[in-house]
Amino acid sequence: MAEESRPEAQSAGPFLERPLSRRALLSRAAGLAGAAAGSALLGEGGAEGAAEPPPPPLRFFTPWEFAYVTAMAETIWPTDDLGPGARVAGVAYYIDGQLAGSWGQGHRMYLDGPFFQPADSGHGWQIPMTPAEVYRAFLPGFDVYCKTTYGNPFTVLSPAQQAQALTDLSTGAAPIQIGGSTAFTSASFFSLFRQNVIEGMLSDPAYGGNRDMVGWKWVGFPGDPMRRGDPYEKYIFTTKPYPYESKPLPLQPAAAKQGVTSGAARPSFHVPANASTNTTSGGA
Amino acid sequence: MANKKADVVIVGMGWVGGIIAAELTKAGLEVVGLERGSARGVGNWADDHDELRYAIRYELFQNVANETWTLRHNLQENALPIRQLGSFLPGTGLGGAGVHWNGQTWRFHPRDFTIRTSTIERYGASAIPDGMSIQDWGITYDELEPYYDKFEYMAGIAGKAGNLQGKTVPGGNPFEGPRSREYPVPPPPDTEMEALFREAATSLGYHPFYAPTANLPRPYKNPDGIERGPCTYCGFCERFGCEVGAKADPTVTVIPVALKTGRLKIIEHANAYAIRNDGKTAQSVLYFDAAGVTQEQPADVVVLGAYVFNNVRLLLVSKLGRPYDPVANTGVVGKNYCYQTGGGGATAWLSEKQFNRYMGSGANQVAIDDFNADNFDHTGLGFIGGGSISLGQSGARPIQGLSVPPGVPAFGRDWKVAIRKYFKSVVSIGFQGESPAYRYHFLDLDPNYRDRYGQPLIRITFDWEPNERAMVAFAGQKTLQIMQAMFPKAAKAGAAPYSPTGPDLIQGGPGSLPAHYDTVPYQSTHNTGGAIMGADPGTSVVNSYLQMWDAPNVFVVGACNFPQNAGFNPTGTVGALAYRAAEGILKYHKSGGMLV
Repeated sequence: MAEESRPEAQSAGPFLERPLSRRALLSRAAGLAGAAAGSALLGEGGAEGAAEPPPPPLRFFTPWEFAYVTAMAETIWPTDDLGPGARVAGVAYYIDGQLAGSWGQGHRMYLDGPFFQPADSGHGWQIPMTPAEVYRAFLPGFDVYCKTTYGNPFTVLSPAQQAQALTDLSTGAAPIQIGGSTAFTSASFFSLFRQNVIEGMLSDPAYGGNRDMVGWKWVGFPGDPMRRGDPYEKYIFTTKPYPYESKPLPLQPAAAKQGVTSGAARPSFHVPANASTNTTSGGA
Repeated sequence: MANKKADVVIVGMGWVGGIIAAELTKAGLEVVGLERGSARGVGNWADDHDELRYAIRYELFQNVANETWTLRHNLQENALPIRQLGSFLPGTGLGGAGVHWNGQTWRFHPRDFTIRTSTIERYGASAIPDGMSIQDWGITYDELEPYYDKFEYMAGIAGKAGNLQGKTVPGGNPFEGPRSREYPVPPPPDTEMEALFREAATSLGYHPFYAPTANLPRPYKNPDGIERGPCTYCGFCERFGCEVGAKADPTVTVIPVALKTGRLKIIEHANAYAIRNDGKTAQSVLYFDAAGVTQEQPADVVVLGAYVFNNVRLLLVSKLGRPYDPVANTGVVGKNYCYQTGGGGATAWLSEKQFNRYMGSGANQVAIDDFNADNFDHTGLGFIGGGSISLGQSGARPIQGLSVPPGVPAFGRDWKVAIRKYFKSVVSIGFQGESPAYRYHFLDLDPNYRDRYGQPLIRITFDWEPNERAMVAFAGQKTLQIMQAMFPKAAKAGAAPYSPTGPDLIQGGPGSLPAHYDTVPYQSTHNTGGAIMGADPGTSVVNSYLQMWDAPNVFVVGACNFPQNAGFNPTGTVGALAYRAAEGILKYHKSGGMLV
């Protein structure tokens, strides 16, 4: 890329920009809230948008990062005439929660040194950073790349330019460095990010994404089968369509579980009385 | 001060530890089980249909922040730590990986136990490539058969016999070794896609059968009096605990039986790190307790029932047994590390037809064994070994279950349309191949990296070899042929630009393996070897009772005993070896000495 030699400091991300005025802060906040409220209207059942709760506070992202990730996620899984996408599903909130939580903080990663760049393929993650640190370090570099290559931050590029910018990441063509190091390539970031978007669309809504289960409804996944006490046994060996693909149910909220599952739905070592009819003990 | 001495101390409370604890305590022995994780059981899984938490964030698996492994592909390369779980997923906690497994419960072929002798007999010594260090097990299938039977009746395995006492019976696997009796539970019916596979395989002259499963299709009471109910086909099986106890796991079978005797004491959060020994006899197991403080559990007999890597690490750290040196070709501990060879599958994306793919159970599958082991003539093929070919319906969960044909972009509107189109319309045939042993594939202690307690990590030296590449190339043609018979009108995926209104598509053909073994994508938690069994103390760590040649009161048990890995899931054989070891321990406890 021709831009490779461009000095980084010239546009090294939003942290070098002037501090925001109070007025700008207020309008930015209003913009975020507006985006969330507007997007809710596009969702299935969006007509009830009036009762939409306010968006949750951010736990990891800065507002700038949040806006960037929202736009990037929307490019992966767009909201269009066919159905809702990442913005409506709250994918950026999902990723925010993940980066603030144990996964993003590397609680299940071995991060002891020494560190080496692998001589061959197959060694996976070999840098001392956590996923949260990678997001924080990578996004400003991507911002520089978008400005130098396409003339604007990602958030205001045309959809075609946004798609091209993500393709540049996916192919590794975007020469984005972290502190001068190329050990974590743009292609690595793209696969990490794309996976996070898919998670945010298709994990249980409890994690902040997949709002109103729009992702599950899109692919036809019925959620937690045990919520219906309706084991698949009556369907799996037949060609009968399962009637609840469009009406998925999430994991039961903790509050609702109190008193419902204690005893009754708890499985035991013992075969239930109706075992001869081959029904489950779980729904008994 | 050391704990009160036990008759037997067992490291690890998974299938091996649970089975041995049950057998020994039933016979009156006092047993202490050291478990590095927490106690848990079926009640923990009432609300576990959470793909992100369990399948993606690895709730039930070893946390590599505390303890991992390093990998190099050859002796010259820098070994680097596996910093995130990926290629394999060992469990932790009561029941071990026996809690989160799928339940595929095979017996290895008679030929697998005599692989070296059988290969030379049929093809000559030159059929074994240079550097391949396969060896016979020191036990035959017929000798192990009663223990397989015991495991299957304890766990309630559902299946259909193909060979009863030497007589081929219809409906089962005609290539299997002789069974003394039928499976304890009949198999469930085929699902729609399994029925298509069965029909296609039959039309090609192959021999499809329902693959043996530990997911009960109907209620079952085992010989210990344990009753379990049937599977609900919820689709949350591998990587999850079973909330109805339909999947056989140690916490719903052998561990309660052992606890009921009052003679099993389980110490939780006990991280065993060494065996105190004088080179000939073990005195005790040293472990870090929940506070990280060293404790000592003395016993007459020490049993290592941890996962492959930790059994080997305990021996090496404790300087028990002779460490393997591949350059000098001396020693045995760490020798013949093997894995499982994937690749060679075929996939179809159907334009109209949909299946209830998200329903399933872990071991729900129809298989053929026509291309496994030495069930087909290898003359002129350029490789030895084979694998199991199957079509399973284990339950597609959405994060992991998306699949689109080649030519669909990686993101955007077209991708979004394609994931919806194919979520219920993708069908895969898998190949699970053998992993032969090689002189330079082995385990030792890493010189640089340590776990959270300061103990050295296990270093894995492993890569794919030409024999397996040739095997996978061959297998891919067979799976493609079956897929084409299933969907004869389908076009070759990628031959023309992708069109959303195009025909059914099939991807397949000669399979391949990556340039190097890759620790990132999940492949299989079927790591084997490092404490292998055999008839010769010069080339094996344990005898046919899994008793250490160098220390008769130490029994090392598990997939670490496999001299090389077969084209099957390992748990059935691990269970059989655990019953065999339990019998050996009882004999040893009574009269002492070497059992072989």
